[in-house]
Amino acid sequence: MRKLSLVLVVLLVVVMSFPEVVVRLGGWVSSPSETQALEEVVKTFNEEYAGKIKLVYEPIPGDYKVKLTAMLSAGTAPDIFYLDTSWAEEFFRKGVIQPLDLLIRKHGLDLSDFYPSLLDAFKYDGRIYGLPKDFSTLALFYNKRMFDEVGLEYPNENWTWVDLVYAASKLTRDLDGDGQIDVWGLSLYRDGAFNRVIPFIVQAEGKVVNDDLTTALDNPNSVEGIRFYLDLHRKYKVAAAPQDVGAGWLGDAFGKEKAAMVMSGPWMLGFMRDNFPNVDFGVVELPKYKQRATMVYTVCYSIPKTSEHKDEAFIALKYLVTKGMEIFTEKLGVLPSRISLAKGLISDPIKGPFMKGVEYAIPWRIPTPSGIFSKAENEINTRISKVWMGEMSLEVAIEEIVANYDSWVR
Amino acid sequence: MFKKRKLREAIAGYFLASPIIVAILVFTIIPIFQAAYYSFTDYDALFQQKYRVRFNALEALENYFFVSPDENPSEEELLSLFDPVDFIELAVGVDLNAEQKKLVKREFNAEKLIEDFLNRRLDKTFVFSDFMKDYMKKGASVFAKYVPDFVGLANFFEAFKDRMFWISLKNAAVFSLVVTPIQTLLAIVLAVAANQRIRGVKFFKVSFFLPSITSAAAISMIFMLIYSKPGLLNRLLDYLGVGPIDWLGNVKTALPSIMAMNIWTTAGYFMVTFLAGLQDIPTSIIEASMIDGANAWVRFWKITIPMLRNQIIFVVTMGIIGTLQVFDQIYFLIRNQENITISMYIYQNAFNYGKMGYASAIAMLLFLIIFSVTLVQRRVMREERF
Repeated sequence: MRKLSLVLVVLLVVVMSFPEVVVRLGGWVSSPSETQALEEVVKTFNEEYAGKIKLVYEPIPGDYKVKLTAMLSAGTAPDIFYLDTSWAEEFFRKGVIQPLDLLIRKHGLDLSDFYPSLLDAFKYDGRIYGLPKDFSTLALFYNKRMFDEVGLEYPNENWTWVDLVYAASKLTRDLDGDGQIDVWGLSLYRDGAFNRVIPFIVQAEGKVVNDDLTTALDNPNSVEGIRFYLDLHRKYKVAAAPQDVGAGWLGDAFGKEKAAMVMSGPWMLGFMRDNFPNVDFGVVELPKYKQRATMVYTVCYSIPKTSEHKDEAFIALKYLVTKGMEIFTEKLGVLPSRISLAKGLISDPIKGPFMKGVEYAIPWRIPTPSGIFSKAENEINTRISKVWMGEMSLEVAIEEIVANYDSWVR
Repeated sequence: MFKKRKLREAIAGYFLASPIIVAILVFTIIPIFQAAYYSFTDYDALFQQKYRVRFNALEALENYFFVSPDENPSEEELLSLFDPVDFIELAVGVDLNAEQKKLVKREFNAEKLIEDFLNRRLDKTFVFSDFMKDYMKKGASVFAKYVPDFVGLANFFEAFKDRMFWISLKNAAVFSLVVTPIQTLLAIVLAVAANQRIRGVKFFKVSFFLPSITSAAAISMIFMLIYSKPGLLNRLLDYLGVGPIDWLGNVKTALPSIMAMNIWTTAGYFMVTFLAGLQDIPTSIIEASMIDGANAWVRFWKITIPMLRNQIIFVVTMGIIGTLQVFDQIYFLIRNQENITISMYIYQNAFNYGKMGYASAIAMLLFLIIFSVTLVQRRVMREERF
């Protein structure tokens, strides 16, 4: 009995002398290599802050947004977690995320080193609610062999919409002469396509929402952009949806060489390397029209307002976007959201186009009065699919969107 | 004496059953009542921890005044600068409604807070609701727990005006009307087939039943391939000269495709029920009918079907309930809003559109629909008692 209490006392003393604060980090699971890199960052952090802060990585598998919502409402959310630009605003608006401005001032972090378009993606009401982890932009992938076959020059960064249609029509071919097209110039999404249409809208100098948050999709320039996207399939007949060529997604269609060009992000690079190592491809910035535009998809680290250890959480967050980002950039090849880490990458023939894109990219985040765009997105996507399949005219689709938009974003 | 024993027995019984009683209470009964309550409110899950915001009061005040207690500011000056509503909304970060603002203006004990600030008693983490308990003269209970606003029947009226509600309800109804009869009939046919005394009957039983124990996700993935434009189904149709159809992409064919898949997965499950029923049919009746000269076709309609009456009622009831609630296959395979069913729409509202109260209201309406359909059905098809 006495021995036991002695052991307990010793244990207590040991525990008391290391008042480690545990900071929990949660995020979705995208790939084993990313988990591995993250675990390495966590390990180096814990070595550096041994005895003070212990960072614990808790992956959240499954339907991430649903689970995070449940955790936030139960008060069991991690101290740091990922938020995606496309739905983060709802969380900022509803007051569950800690604004980081004061913590940044207190612990010091140079924000000017981050790409402004990425920081803007996580600002709301003049405050910053998250720091960007990394990012992806869209660029044009092209299959070199297929271009050589038809004797076309490879795309370059000065390409316009006209060049795109011209090349795509040359590349769309019936190889075995049975009257069916076997390879397409382009593959474009038919379902869930709205975020891929936005670059075309902006390239045509249109916009998605007006300053008063009403829809701007009926703006003539916006309509021009949407029409061009759909006409690549309907009128010029140079683009097919992935499922029409037996592919699951754009990368699959490109890898199987069913399409000579796709507009996609850097997530394609690892996929192509692992699944289609023999396909020789190049990457350039998206073709321009009246101006350049691309989408940027990004994710931030945020801290909930209910966190018990905000200071420690921010110290860990700061580590993740400094030392951690260096490790991610090196190990995973992600595109860093800090300018100082991006230097060598801009001249890289494959990563360069993505890096250049971030200078003029628009974040995938549509501001709405309620902070929620997902309902409007579903409704708009449904109509884009219908126009694509010829079940609805573009004019009717736009009319319906304008008539109902307010009820979708309220 | 006897009574006491009975009581003791009852206590022991309930004690032994308590794990399942507690589980049903916590995971079924309480959520049902909660959903009913939320359907009359504007409940938002993200507000649940609204008053559990944690903050360091010293830092919050320093940032609010731009001064630290070390600089010895005067109490009167700080008091004249201090606005509790501003402080709570900007420095602490909790949004207040009009009533709460009034209450805070009236009851907040600014003197006490400033005094504690100057005496350096605030350098610790407060939970907002506890902070209010400390610094409100009265009325702090308003900030103890998030209570959603009561909106009466507004959610229900919204549903009646909502185009998507009617579309998704119609889809679920069509789904149910088509799938239930076919799956019931198919299950009977499968059961009769599996009840034959032929070689390898076990193999057939297993292959009929297998789809119903396979995960919906796996089945959905396989059917996605079968239904895709260059998929198996279109390749078969090609021999018949029917052009490739994008089964899941086309608004007209998407729901029927899922129905076919649903029938395939559930028929085997209900087959087991009918198998049990078939084995209950006395051989004497069948023998008697054979002596009377009834052939297999007549026996099926005149003996098997009537004798399976109770099983049919059970399967139809379960089928209607199941089909009206169909979710997973829709979630995995439907990309077009026009084709979603009501439970998918409930899910979207609850988790994607941030409208938990509205989603609860639709769920209540779905409950009422299923409840009344089942009630009517029980009236129409009375179970036979022997």
